[in-house]
Amino acid sequence: MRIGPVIVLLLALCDLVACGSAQSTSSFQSVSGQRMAERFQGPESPACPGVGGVHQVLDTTFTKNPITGKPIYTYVVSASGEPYYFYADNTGKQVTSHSSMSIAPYNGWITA
Amino acid sequence: MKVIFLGTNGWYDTDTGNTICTLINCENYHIVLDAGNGIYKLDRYIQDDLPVYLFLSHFHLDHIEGLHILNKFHFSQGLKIFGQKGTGKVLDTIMRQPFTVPIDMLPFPVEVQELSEGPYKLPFAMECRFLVHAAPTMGYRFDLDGKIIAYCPDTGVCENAVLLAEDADLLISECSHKPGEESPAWPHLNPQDACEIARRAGAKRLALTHFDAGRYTSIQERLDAAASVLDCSEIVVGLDGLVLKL
Repeated sequence: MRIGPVIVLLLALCDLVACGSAQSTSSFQSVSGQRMAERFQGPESPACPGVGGVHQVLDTTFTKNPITGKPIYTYVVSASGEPYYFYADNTGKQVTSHSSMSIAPYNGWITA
Repeated sequence: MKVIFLGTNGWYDTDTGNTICTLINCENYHIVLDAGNGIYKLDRYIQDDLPVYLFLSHFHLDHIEGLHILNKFHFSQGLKIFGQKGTGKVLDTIMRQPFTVPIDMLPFPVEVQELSEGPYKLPFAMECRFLVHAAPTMGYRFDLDGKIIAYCPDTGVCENAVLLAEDADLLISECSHKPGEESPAWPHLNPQDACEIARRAGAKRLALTHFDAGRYTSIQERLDAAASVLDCSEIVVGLDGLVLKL
């Protein structure tokens, strides 16, 4: 499923990508970019200065984890022209979890 | 047609190899997959005037850090670079002074084409889809000389990887994680994941590459990892310099 680009968001990106730990709790059923914008509005995270702020959704795709069968919605967003990627399940809950980052050797930063 | 593994490491160079770069030499084209440090070996295998196409999966440095040596090549028909939207801006940012030779000052013409998901009719058929990674990453599927080659670099398990590899003659898949490892926060594949994608897709052959340099510190560890996969009919362990004939 693809949803068109050009939706400007205010979101706490740090909570959505590598360095955040917060997770959404309330659910949403729509997969529209607008709903995602409402869902993830928030202030810039002090944990990742410079990463929050105004972001533009560049692309949205839908995939399904063939092992678990769970759908994964992927969102490509841009902060100051730099793209980031994050994903959530169909309830809007972030799939990624801070605890599992320990497997990565990058102190929370993903570089490869 | 030959598939030549020029760099098979993920993250950084070690004694096991250079960062990722793969060359496909087919009848009428040279196809280069990603531009890690292994790309410096291109002129060992490209000694003709056929056109060269470079497909970038994403912009983590281990996939593009080799771009700074492009000025040692002399591609008589130029170089066509393909990547996701934003590729031009990224290349303009890193390929400039004081870092390296600006892209428009290379000794051959360079053309950059930005891609959205979907099929493309280049001089050959190509399809690209987003994979699942910590940065936007494109996977590719090529129809070259009657053979289907799928390239799924940095990704977690996802349906798009399966779609790209459907009935492929060769699936070139990353293998960053060790057997049994997985992390939704750092999406990569372990050898079992790669095998499962190949099996579901009906791919005839699976070649593993992009072994994380911090995890796979010896060639033997790569071989052991591949050997841990029991239900994969034909699996190839990518090594720098390995040539596969299709």
